[in-house]
Amino acid sequence: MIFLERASRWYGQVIGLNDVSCSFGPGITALLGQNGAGKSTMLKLITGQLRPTTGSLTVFGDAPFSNPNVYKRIGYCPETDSFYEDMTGRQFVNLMARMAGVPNDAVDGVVTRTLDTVGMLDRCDKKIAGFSKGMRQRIKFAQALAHDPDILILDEPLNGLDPVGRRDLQNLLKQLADAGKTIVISSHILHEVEQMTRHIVLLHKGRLLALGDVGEIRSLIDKHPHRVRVEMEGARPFARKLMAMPNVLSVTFDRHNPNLVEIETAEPDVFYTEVSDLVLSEGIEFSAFTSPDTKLESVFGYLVKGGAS
Amino acid sequence: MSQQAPIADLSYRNYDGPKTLKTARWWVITLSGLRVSFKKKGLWIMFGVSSLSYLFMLFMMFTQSFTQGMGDDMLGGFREQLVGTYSNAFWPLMIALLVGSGSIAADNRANALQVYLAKPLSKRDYLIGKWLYIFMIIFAVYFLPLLVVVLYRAFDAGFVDFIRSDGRVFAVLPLLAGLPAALHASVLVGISAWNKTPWIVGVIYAGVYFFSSIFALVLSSAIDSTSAVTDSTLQHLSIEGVISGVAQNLLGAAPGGIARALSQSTVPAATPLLLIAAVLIIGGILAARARIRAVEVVQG
Amino acid sequence: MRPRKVITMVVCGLMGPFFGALAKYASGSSAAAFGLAMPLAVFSFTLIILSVVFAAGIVSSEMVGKTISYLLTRPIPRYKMLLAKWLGATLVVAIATSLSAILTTVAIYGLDIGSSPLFGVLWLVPVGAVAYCSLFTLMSVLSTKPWLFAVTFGFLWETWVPLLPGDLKMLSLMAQIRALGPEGSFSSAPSGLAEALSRLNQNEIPAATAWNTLAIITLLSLVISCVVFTVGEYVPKDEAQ
Repeated sequence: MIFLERASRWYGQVIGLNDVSCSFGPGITALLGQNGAGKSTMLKLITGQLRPTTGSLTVFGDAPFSNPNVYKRIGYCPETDSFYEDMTGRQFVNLMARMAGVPNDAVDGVVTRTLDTVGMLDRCDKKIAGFSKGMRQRIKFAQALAHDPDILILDEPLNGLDPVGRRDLQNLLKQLADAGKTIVISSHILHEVEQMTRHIVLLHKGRLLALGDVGEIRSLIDKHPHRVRVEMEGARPFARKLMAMPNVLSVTFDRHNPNLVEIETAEPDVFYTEVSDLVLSEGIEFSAFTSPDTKLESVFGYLVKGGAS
Repeated sequence: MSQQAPIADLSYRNYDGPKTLKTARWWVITLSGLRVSFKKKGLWIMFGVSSLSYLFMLFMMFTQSFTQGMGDDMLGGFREQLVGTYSNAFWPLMIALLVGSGSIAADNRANALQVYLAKPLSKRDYLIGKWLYIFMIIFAVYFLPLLVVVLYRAFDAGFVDFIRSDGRVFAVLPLLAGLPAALHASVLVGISAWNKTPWIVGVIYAGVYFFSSIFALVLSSAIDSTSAVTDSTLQHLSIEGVISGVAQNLLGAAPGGIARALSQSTVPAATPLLLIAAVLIIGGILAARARIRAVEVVQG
Repeated sequence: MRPRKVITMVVCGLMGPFFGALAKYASGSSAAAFGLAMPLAVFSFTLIILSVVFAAGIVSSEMVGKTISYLLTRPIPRYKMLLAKWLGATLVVAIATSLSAILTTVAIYGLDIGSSPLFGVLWLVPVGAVAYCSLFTLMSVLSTKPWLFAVTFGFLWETWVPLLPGDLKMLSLMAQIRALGPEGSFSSAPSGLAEALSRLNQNEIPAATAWNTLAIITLLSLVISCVVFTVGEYVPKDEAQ
């Protein structure tokens, strides 16, 4: 649906996006990167507010810049906290829905449904100027959603939402993704993005650093050994057996928890097979078996900062 | 003396040194305003345009010195020419709008007042700081070209002769620059404090400024006065008129040039003009003081 | 419409009646008061300041308020969006200034406005609104601080250029608008240098020339505005990266 082909964007002497090729399809894709990585530039290119300086970008086969045919199918939730402050929440969403092409006779119903979906129906008739940050985020999201677009572009939508609001938004986005919508979400809150999707596009200093499933990306990072944590009774005898495995690089015991052991391995696939065999043959019981490395935050840290965060 | 650890701690930590400001606290705000203003290209362009009339005056004085006083009847003496040139107040106004309209309105929009007033800065420090940077810029816009012209004249005419004939000009120069600077700064902070959008502030002040000019024009045209001083005073009942009228009183001369030759200008009465100036300056500052607060109360 | 803009509109609209009443009180002559208040207060002040407020901010206020991203991601061609905003601004300016002109006449002539020259000049208000709003819309599309240019144009250019000798006065929109009115309907009373210059410049602009000039300026401003707004990138500065 969204294709970038060697797309670059310059702001005078500064490069915002540097030779990026990628695509976005149905489901949720998280657009990650530090401040100034080029996330907002990419979203502005996709939503047709900017044109690529070089390369190409298409949405449903068309260049999006100043293209109403593309805008009909896009819902955009900008990062900036800007509104027509004298309007009520309902008036604002109503105006945006009308401008997005929702017919006059249907607009009231559509707006009411959308406000209900984002949990603002009971508070939408007050002026936006008096809204809290979380309410403003919900109204911004509502205006992006009102005309039932095929693509949702959300720039930091979780900012300012309380934990309940975040969970509601995450659930809603999952539902929309299950219904076949394409959702591109830019965020800094990695653990919450992780709860929504495993599919990421990672930008760093304007360049595309990684693209795809977080687990797959992690397995391709050879530089850093894969870490596995095991919690069990009798961790030391088990560790002795692990040391015999050629793919195990180190075994470390936790200073505070004698039942916790962290293993570093160079070949995670081989390691998982051998550990499974060992567990089955010896009847070993684990309390917990986790891999902190497959967490998005670790992958992000390895790729961007050169080490786990 | 604190004990130095063998290995220096280079990690980030909050500043924990002395917090007493060496300079006046409002100076921090003034300096910040000056820095932001000096980065605006428009300021320098308008300053250049504003100074053109003084450049023209210099050229006229230069040519007059070769023509042995020819054209003096038309252009008037030095002080008449000076007050005529000084009265072209449009570009200094535009500079004031450019640098001053966002002075407080931009902070209102960005909720920056919360940040400012959470520091050890009082409302008074904030207001003085904002007022002063506008004042300093407009003061400089008037003062620098005036000084150049007056110095040229002093050296051209002979310093001693100049002091004897036009010496008062040196004394009133700071007042000539200070009055419009104080007027613009006060009214602008007053309007700016009540708004969140800088350009609306600019348009409101421009509206008030030109409205007052039209008011004075209508009044002086409609009222058939037999006194030249009254007629001239009526013509000066505007912001622009106050600036020009007070200057005429300070220099003791009506504007020279074509206007003088055709309309026989008379110096207006000083008292009503000074009263208007005082009301505008005090009113502007009080209006700003009444509105500046850290927390925005939202209704509706 | 935002409350502050409504207040601005009402205040500016009341300037004409205020000046009208003042001039009538001071001079005692209705014709003289009308000749002063209509050109100076209604045309040279209310019409221009309302055009600055409503048209010069068409694009730039959306940029400053950072609401432009909502507009530019709607499925409406940009030129249509701009023309709709221009039309809205022009209607508001024309209606408010016309009301101001009518109230000014009432303030001078009372309810007997049939005996006033109002209807000879009232139709010039929408003509002026169209011309000024078009030009200021262009400024709004081209600059992030259009109000500075609009104020300079409206109050400096439009004050002095009509007084310049020869055909130079044709560079002023107000001179063109005044040329369309009945003779003597704009007998304003300039003084000082303005009076001197107006005495030097007795050239009249023919009505046909004024119509053509206003039409060309309006069309050209709108066409350039639409083209620039359609092909231009409008992203608030601090969001640009």
